[in-house]
Amino acid sequence: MIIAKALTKKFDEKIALDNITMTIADGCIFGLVGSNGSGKSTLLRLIAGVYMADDGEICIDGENCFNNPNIKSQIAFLGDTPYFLPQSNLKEMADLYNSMYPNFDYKIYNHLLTVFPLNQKARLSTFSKGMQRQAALILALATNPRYLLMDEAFDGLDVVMRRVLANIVMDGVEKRGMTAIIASHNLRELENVCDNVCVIHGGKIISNGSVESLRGNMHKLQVAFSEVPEMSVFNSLYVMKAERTGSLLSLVVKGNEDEIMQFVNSLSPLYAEIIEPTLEEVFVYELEVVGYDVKNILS
Amino acid sequence: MTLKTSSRKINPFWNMIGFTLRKNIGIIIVLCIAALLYCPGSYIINYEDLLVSVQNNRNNYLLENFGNIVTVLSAIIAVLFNMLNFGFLYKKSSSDVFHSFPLTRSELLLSRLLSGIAATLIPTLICYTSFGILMAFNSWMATFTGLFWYLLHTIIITLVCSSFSMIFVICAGGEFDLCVSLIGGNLALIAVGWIFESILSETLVGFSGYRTSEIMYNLSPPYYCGVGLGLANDIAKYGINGQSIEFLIRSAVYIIVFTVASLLLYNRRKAEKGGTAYAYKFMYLGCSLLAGICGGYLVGMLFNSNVTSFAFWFFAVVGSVLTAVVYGTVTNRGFKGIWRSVIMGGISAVVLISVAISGVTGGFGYTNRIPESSKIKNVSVSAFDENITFYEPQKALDLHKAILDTNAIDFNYSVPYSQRQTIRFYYELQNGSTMQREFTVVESKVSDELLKIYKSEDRLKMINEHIDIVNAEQFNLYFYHNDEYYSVNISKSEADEFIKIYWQDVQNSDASVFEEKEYRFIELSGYRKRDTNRDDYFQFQFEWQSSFANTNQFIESHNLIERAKEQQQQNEAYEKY
Repeated sequence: MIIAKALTKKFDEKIALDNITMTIADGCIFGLVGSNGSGKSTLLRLIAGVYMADDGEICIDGENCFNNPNIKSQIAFLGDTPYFLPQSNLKEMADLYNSMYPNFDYKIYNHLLTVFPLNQKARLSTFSKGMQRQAALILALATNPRYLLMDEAFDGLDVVMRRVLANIVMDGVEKRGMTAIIASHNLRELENVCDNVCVIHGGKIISNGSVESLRGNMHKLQVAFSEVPEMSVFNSLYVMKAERTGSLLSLVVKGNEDEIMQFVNSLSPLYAEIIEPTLEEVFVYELEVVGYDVKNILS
Repeated sequence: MTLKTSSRKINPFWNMIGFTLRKNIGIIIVLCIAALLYCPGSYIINYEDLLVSVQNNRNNYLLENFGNIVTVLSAIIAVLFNMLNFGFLYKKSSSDVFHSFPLTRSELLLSRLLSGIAATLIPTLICYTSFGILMAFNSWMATFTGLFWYLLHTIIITLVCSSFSMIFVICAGGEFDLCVSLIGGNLALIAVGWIFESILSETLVGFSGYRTSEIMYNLSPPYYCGVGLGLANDIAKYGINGQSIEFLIRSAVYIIVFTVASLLLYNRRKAEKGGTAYAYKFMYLGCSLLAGICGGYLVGMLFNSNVTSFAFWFFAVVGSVLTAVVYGTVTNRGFKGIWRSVIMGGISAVVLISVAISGVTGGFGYTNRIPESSKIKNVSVSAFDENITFYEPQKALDLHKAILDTNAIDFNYSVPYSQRQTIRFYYELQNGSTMQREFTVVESKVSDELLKIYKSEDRLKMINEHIDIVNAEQFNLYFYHNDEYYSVNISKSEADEFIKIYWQDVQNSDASVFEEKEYRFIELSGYRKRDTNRDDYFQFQFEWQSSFANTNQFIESHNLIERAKEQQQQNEAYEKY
């Protein structure tokens, strides 16, 4: 279990993480979401033991992550920009990782080479951005980590590879009890993969919880009327947002789905349908309610 | 849910050393080939030339050359390997990967450092081994003892340079700034020592620069290593001595101190500083200060070379600020923080001015300080182009006091050259410390005290010790007479007689001896047996005044001029033959 207590990280005068307290349970896929510069990469580097906290601490199983080889041997950190030793090929990098990580498994490595068909003897510097990311993924996953930290995991991968990666991560979590922490500025990519999502903005946690609990009882309601009623008619519902396009009303409503439909049907609409909002929409609406400039947060 | 792993027992520390060595194997092979080309390669190819050069240049000439080249290259290569192996610190992506490996910071630093040292020492040892094998078949090359001491010095100096460079490697945030601070900073430090010496020599009465080299020896590790290389030369010639042992012990302490300092700095280094100019501000501030001092002095000198002039100081201040600003602009890749650079330039100028002011005001009592007689172990006086050591210091102290009391000091060279002399006092005190003063004096004002020194038994003792006539042989007199130079071989008894006769003239002389400025000399040279298996050449120049009647008589009575001509003819005939 990863626990951050009053974690603060500063870059000179800029506060990247401001007094963050959070818990990441084992065996889940945890999404870190935020705009560029929100602090999610910094949080990953603190977990990976790359950065030193200025204040507070971040621990795994009660042990501080920084300068702790025992903890770091259980973590595979995949940064936003893959790095390979100069002039090296994938095989050489695998040898390096094998000599560093006690759990490195060539079976996994070879298996992943069949999934991501890369020439392991070609120089990594000749690889495309997407291929380099695949190579980095192979190396990270082959270390058989207990914690897989991925910064902008899907960046540079095509649609097929994104799905493959998502499946591999989910498989690792399901079969080996791995914990995956994925940082991204794109919520859509995470909502079908993550169990829990944490939104960070300006170094602070804005929202943190399971995807389901975050979605909660929020619904997108689309209703068409021959004669659109006054909005005051809907006062008995908890309407978070309302938009009208001709005779079509689009409402974001909180509440019990059946009760909402019962009320709407009592207004004799031409057409009424409830749609599950995307995770991104949930955050947009929630954050607008609390007054955040959503466009800046979820760019 | 539990994690299914098949955890192996591995040692990432040793694995990192092994991996780094493997990664650098190409460079190591190239270095080994270069090492073999140098030794034995170049030695075998130039065998005949080397044989001649050894005959012409005595005392471990070959080993000196070999050891100096290998040591300097070894130290440079060790530093370059550090720059190469720690390049990951300067990029965020590489820093992420290396710092997420399951190693402590200390393990990571030591593993990369050790692999660099190992990669350096492999070709170095190949060189030494090859030299040793050549020596086994050619004993004239050097002694194995000398080779061993040289090897020890090479390793020690390499380790000192390597560990010292680590401080710069860790404090830098990028390759460019590492080069600037490591190369520029160290050169600037030596330059600053020279600048301070230069300013004080022109502002502080009695100032002697001998301390500068001592201070640089203590402050600048590269300078220190250079001195150590000189000690290795001495060891190879004369065997181990106290100074060399002190150097080796001190070097071992330096290696530990620099390594520990590197570890402490690295453990506190913020990984996110990779890509910035410096990870630690003190490195920037230190380099900025050094740059400001050097720049200020240079710009001042460009406009006026007189450090006591207003123009020099005006432009020195401008130069300090400008240099610090340029350095800050380069470091910050722009004008961000320009005011901090201006302040650093100002501080540099203040440092320069402070040094000059302290010099002009007597260096906090430096000029007038004379050690108490009871605290002096011995004192050496440099005068008449000789260096005379007094174990009874009174005569030297009398001269020193007379110089200060009689206003004999001619700091600005106001009297003609023929009427002044530079006199240096070097005191070794009972507590082990030393003190040195140097004055340019008007001779006539201290002629009585100078004459006492000139006629002193200590001076005769110095002459006898230098020539060591008992152990010397193959004497030669070289002198100038009637517009011609003569060189004549003389016997040991003649040499002995010459010294006694010369000394009679010295005893008969009066203060007018200092007024005669038509400089003539008689040079006595020869060879003396030392502990080593080689002869040691010596020479001593006797001032030959026209009033030295006995000396003149000696040259005439022994027909030295005629003999010199005969010997020259014989030599010419021999050369023709």
